Amino acid sequence: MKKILLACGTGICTSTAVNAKLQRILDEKGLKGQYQITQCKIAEVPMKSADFDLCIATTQVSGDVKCPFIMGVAFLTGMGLNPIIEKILTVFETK
Amino acid sequence: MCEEERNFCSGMDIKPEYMMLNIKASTDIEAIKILAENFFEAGVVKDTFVPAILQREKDFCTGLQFEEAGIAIPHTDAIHVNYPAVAIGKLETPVVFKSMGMPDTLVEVGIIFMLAIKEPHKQIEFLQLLMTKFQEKDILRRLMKCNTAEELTANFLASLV
Repeated sequence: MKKILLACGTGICTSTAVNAKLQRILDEKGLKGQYQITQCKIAEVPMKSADFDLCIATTQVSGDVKCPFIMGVAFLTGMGLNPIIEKILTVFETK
Repeated sequence: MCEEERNFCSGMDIKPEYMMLNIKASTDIEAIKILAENFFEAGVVKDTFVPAILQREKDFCTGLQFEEAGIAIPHTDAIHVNYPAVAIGKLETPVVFKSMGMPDTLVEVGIIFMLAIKEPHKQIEFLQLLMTKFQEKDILRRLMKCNTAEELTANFLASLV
């Protein structure tokens, strides 16, 4: 089970839009049931990230992120999304 | 707007009076201010909305580069909003916004979609819908070509189907 933290300014707006798209893509890749997604405010990322395998955000983090971090704006625009999906899939390959 | 359209737009009110064409602005903040003040005069948002959305843009910039156009989606917290609605502002000449999540990347924005969000859980569906539609061919291109508020409203509603 991979734990993914999704963050945006408020933890409810753009991160929710990313959440829907990310779930659809992961399920299409046959990863249904192998991940768990939590949304939060960007300010909570430094504190929360230690418990996660991956953090995807639509805004910059100030402070340390204690897990791999990916900028997720491409989930909104579709521009440059494929390399980002590849990066996310590598997280599932590691134990 | 009929009930069916309202549901379909997640309760978002979309009317010609919220639309602005030929906004003359030289900065992102100036452009957002003009559109937000019009939203306030229309009664959609409270007076606190204007300073709140400007501050929010400084903290979390909202420029997004889509294939067909650069856009911005300024928004702020529900406490500043009277009822959910969308304002669209077309700029006379594009203005530079900072890209969401990447403030060093600049986006030339010709059209702004300002969201007045009242009940986040309902209206986020609307944001998702927008993001999906803006990736489709000719949707943004068509909106950029509208010359009246009525035309922009009609085209926007049609593009959400």
